[in-house]
Amino acid sequence: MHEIFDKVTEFIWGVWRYRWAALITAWVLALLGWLMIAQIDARYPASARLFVDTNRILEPLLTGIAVQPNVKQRIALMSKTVLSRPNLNTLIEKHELDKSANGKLNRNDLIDRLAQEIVITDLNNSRSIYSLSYSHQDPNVAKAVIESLIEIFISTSFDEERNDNKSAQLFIDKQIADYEERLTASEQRLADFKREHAGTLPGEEGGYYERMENLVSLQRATQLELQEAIKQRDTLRKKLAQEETKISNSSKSLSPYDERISELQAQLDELLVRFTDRHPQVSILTQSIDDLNRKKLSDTGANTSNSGELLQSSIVYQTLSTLLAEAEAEVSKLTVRNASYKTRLAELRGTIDSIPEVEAQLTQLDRDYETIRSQHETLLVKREAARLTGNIDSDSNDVTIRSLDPPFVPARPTDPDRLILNILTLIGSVGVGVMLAFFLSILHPVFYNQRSLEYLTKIPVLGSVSLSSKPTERITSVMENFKFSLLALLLPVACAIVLYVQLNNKELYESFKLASSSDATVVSAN
Amino acid sequence: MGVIENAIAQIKEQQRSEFESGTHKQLPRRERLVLADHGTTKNAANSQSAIPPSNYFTLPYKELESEGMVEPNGERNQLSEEYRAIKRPILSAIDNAKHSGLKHGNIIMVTSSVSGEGKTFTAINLAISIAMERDRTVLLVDGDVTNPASGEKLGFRRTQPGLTDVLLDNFVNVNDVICQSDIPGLRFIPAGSAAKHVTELLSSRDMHFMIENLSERYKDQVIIFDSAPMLMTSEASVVTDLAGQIVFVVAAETTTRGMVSDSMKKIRDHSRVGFVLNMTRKAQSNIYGYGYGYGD
Repeated sequence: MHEIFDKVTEFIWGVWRYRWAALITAWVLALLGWLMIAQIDARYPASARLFVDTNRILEPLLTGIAVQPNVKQRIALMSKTVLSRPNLNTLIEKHELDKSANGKLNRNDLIDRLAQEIVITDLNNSRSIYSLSYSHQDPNVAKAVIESLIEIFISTSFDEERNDNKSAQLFIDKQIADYEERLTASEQRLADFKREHAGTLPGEEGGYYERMENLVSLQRATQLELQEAIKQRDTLRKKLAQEETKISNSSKSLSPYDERISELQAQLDELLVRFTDRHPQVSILTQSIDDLNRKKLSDTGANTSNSGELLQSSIVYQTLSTLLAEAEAEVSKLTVRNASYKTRLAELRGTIDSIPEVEAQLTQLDRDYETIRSQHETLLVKREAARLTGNIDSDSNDVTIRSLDPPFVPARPTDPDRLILNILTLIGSVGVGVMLAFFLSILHPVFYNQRSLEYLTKIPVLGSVSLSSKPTERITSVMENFKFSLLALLLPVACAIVLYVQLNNKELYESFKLASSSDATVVSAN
Repeated sequence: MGVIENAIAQIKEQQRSEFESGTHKQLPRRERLVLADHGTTKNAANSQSAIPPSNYFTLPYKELESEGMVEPNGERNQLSEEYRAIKRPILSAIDNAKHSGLKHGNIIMVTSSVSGEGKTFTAINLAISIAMERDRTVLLVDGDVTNPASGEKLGFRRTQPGLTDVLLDNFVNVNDVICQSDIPGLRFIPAGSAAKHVTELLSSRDMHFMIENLSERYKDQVIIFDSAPMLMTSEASVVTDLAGQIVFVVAAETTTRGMVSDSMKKIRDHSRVGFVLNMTRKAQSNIYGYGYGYGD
């Protein structure tokens, strides 16, 4: 604590040592500062606040379809729209903003400057509350400009809403048309495709593989049936042949030749035991056997019709031959069917590559079509909604722009606030003066008390002697202090004078302005 | 009596007659520089014969008071209390000189860094304060030849013969220049006429001898040497070797630390230095209750 106290007192005495330097600096800076502030043109800032409900219309429409527009972009757009060149031009004409002490100004430059000076912001990032502000030397002009701006703003944003809704509708319409096109195109594609691959499209049996399986099983079944039928037929043929022989054997009488033949045959066999068939006896015997057989046959021929008649009258034989005929018919039928199945199977196997592809393409086309169709339906619904909302708005009297604060202009020009600036100049110059004095005191450090002397030099201090001055000296120092305090007190008094002049006596204050600067944007307060 | 005895008697006779007649002959050097032997300085002070009548002076009290200096007969006030406090360590150092090995402890040099800090003020006040001591006497020497402020303050003219005259002029001895004030314990030697090479004068062996003699002869005498500022000339640095104690005056809020440290560099032995902080604000004073006294 003690050290802090010491430091503070050291600071005070240090500044006191160089008080004249501080005072002079403060005076110079203050005077300069006030002069500079007098150069600034003060303007009256006019401002107004509006409530604009830009959400209601757009939001319900665009949810699910479009991305909500960025708020900042919306503001920027609004500003650009309101502050378009034609609008600004109108403003300039209406309020004669281009007149100045130095004659007409460059219109383009003025438009650019106005576009910057007129500020449209959304307060607190609110989407609905906008504030407009503009400053001008003449408070009436500033106020009038803001009023005109509000009118422009209202009409623009109203149109904009309408436009928003209209454009939303237009957007939806356009989308619907687009989708319809796509829908018809998709249908067409589907139809073409079906036509192209008419043969290979899946029928009622179902898909390709099902068909294939069906066919294979059919063919196999047919084959089995065929084999059965053939077996049956063969069996019947055999039976029939047996029956034939049975009948022919039963009706056959022995011819005389048979006895002779068998006799000869026995002789032949005997000979053959001893001789080969080259033996002349064997050959003669054989010849005679053949002759006898021939004769027998011609005899038998005469008996054929006899056996034929016998055959005809056998019922078993008839039934069997009928059955045989049927079996043969069945066999041929099944053979044909089997063959046809086989060919069809072969054909199917041949097209094994192309059919699945076709199927896939078909599925895809179907899906496309389905998607487009559903989206189209949604759009139709939305369009109806938009139309309804639009109708509501145009029918209802709901105004979506309201003025929150009417245009307001303060009585004093506060942009910038010269009053505050002047006071700050005073404080600042005094501060700088004190700092300067302190800095000087640090550059030339002295001893204020015995303690610091002893501490710093480490040499004992015998004692301290207080200042005793001659009466003349005392008077001189008192006079000097008096002069100093007088001058010091004069500084805030001077500040008060400056403020008084600034507030009450405009002409005098403005007369401190040095020669006008070159860009001549000042409208003189006179 | 022998021849030698005759010669001695003759010389003595000569000396006495010269002394009685008061004529200034050229004395041997060393003798010029030596104070007349009167046992203690008190006796020397009381002995009228040693000091010529023209060397009596009264302190100009009115002027001193107007300067703010201490009044010897005045009541207790802050200034006198402060100097009482300052002189105590000085005097105790003198008394302890045998134990501490301090040489010429009774020669006190008053100096500062630059002029205007209050050397003369301090020297005179210190002299007056010590002169009030019952057992001591003070010899105040104005050692600032170029600017003899002490002599001026005490009412002497610059032409008054003083220190430099003793060292330069063979016809002047120490006893001629000592001035007795109306305070019994206070005597004064002025600076003397202006001289060239003051630094060399002050560093001469004659000066050494004189100072030593002054110091050793009278143990109860305090010699206060008001010297030139340390940073302004080289005279002061020479005298620091002669003096046993150095009182360094620092003006509060005026002397910068740089000045003090530069001066300290010129002094070889810092153990003999003591500071006096002059011109402090009243609040800084470490004197408590100076109004305390009889009948308050």
